[in-house]
Amino acid sequence: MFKKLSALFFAFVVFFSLGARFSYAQDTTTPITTQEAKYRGLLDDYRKAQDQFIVSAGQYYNLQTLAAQEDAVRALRSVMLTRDDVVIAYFDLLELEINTVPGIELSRKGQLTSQIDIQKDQLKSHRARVEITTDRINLNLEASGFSQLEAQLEATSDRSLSLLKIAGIQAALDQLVLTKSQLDSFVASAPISETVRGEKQRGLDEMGRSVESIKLVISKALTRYDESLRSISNPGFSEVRSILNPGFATLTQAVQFAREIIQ
Amino acid sequence: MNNTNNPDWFSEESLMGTEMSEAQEQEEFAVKPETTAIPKKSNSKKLLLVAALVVTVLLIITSVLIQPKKKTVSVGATPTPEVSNIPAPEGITKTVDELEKDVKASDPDANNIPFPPIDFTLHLASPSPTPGF
Repeated sequence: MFKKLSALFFAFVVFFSLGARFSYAQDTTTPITTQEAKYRGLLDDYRKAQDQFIVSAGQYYNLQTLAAQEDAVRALRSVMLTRDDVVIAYFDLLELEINTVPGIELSRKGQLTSQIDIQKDQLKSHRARVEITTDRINLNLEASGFSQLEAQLEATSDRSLSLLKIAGIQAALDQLVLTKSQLDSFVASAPISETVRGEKQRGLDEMGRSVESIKLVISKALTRYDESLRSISNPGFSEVRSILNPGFATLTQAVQFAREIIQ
Repeated sequence: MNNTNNPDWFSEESLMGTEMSEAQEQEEFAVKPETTAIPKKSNSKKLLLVAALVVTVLLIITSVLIQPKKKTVSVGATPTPEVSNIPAPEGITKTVDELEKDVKASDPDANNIPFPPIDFTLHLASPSPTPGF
């Protein structure tokens, strides 16, 4: 009787503590984190399949038997299928981010997501062809076809990342405008001396200038982004990033100004 | 006093009576260890059960106290529009915190979803001294 009660007591304690942790863990789950976890899992599967292919191909080159070739072909097909899955999951994740993040103009969003959809369709068709291919020659043809997609896929990824970065700066700018508006009201009516009010007002003027300069940065970055749509060879993510960097520095400084004003 | 003066007190019957009661007492002493051992055992079990229950209750109270308090929107904390349109300093601090969070998330050099590190050149070449993978 006593032993049963003790077991019940410990089971209760364990369940209670685990239950509490589980309820907190549930709160952090979003569609993006779920998709990100799926993508990371597929990337791990791809790495394992690639390692397996390297081993099988090595055996085939050493033994040069039909059985070894069969093993290597199976391993190649497996790694090619997983590779398609990884890229499809990656574009699903990018699409989800683009559709979720605020600060992206609808026309640009629509243009980019339709481009992503075309890429995903190409990948799905490729995957379907690989799935039914069983011989080395045709599998190598599909492998060659996939390598020709590389430039297009990377260009789409670069454009998506560029737009997401511009959207990030735009969202921060919107928050800065909101913060400045609240600080304007606060400084204007706060029970403080005129000297202090003057100091704070100068800080607010600096913030106003920051807003204008960040708007210019975003405009420049969007111009570069639009140019990149006309060129596959130069998607321009690194250039967009370079254009945005001064805007990010100005935003960081504006946060510092805001902190000083509310002190 | 009366008992000491009573002649029957030291009679044979009364002495026999005392002898009988002593024998009964001896019997009682002989039985007692068996009868007292059972309550002692049940008492220790009861004590352990009570201790376990007390610990459980203490654990529940402690865990309830340790759990983070849910954030509640304080309706009364913000000033009413009739008094003033100026946001409270707490409200402004919250807005600045949000701004800081947004700015940190907008770092152009941080890329948490780079293009997947996959090999685009994988294929199975014909056997040769230099493998094609």
